[in-house]
Amino acid sequence: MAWMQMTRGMKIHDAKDYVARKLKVDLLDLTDEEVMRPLREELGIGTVTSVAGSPKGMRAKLKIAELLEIPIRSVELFKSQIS
Amino acid sequence: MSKNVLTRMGDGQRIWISESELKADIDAGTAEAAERARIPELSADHKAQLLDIITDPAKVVSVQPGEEVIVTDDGCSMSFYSGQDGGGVGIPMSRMQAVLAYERACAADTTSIGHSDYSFKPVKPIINFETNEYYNISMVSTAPLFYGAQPNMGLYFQPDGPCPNPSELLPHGKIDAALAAQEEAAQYLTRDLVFVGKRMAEVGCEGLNFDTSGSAGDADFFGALCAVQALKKAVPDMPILMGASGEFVIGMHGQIAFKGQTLAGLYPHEQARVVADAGADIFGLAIGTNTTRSVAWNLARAVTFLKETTRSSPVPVHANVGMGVCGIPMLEQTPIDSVTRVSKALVQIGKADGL
Repeated sequence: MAWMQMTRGMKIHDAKDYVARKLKVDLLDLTDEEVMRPLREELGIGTVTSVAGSPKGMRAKLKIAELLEIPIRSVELFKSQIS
Repeated sequence: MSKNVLTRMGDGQRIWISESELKADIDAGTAEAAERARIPELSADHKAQLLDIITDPAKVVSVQPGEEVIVTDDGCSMSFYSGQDGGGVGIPMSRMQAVLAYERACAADTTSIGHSDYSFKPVKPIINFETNEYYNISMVSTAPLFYGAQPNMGLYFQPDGPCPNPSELLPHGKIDAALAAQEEAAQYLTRDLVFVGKRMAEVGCEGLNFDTSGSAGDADFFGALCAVQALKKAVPDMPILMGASGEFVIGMHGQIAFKGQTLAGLYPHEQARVVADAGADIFGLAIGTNTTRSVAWNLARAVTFLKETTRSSPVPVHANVGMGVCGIPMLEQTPIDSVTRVSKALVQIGKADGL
């Protein structure tokens, strides 16, 4: 939701709707640990507990930018350096 | 006879007061904000909702599922390694470790780093240290990482800076010189904010935070607005959060205008519009806590300002809930009962997009 406020200036309800649609979950699921924990691992967008070998940091942000269809400036810089 | 409720004063002192006294404080708080900013008071329903939040018997309260908002911060990770004067707990850890601990152990929505002085001016001579640090951390952090500090125009006045000090000029009746000094300082401020912002942009900065803008008055607010405008022209895709320093812009200069809008005396709903007009993506609202009034009075006042601001702001609004702000008691260790009541009311009634 924070990424959507920052990159698209979305207010909180619009940001939640947008992210829920992109993740294909209900609004209530966004803050439900039982739903989001495995989904975050499956999508590779970072988990609170550390799973060895699972994306976090830049690898997770690459996936977040792709899923939400937003430019994340650090990701853009990273991509320009590896391409 | 109504029952007594445990609550606090704005300085954190525990008090037992009756529900009727709480209602009177809520009435007075919302009326005070409405009169000052010429905005609507809270409705009877919202006053009743606020009373319910304050009188909830639980120590910790919260919003309902689905009503959660995000949190941005003003250098929160610094509190892991800094000392008491920075609200810090003094753990010996690096900035990167602090950001990652905040992000992963505290499940933060966003994180940030900034100069430990938390002003932009001292960043300039060490910009390469800061950009290196930001870049390294951004490679391993997952949540949005802001670079933030206060514009803090006061640092540009003598003896700390190059400009004559208006506080010394005004008592001698040198009004024109005091105005000129502030205009000159605002230019220095804009130049430094833009310099730091552009250098941060070069290392992939995910977001910039101009925190506590206007702390030295309307010229300070102007300097920050001009920097936002310039940065949005130079680096349009870099998100900027611009937060205010109080419920109205102090008219230390009095005549400075941004795009025709005089800045002195602007209340939050007007601040948000001018901040959005400059190009910022998020507005940070700050309402001072009166330590001699109750949390109920302060919170009613803060929610009244916020409600009108979120209603009219074109950009998301984050309400500042640091110590002594928006109804949080002015106390080094902010009491969880007050913090959670303030947060709940700001979100449910004030419709904050974030805290």
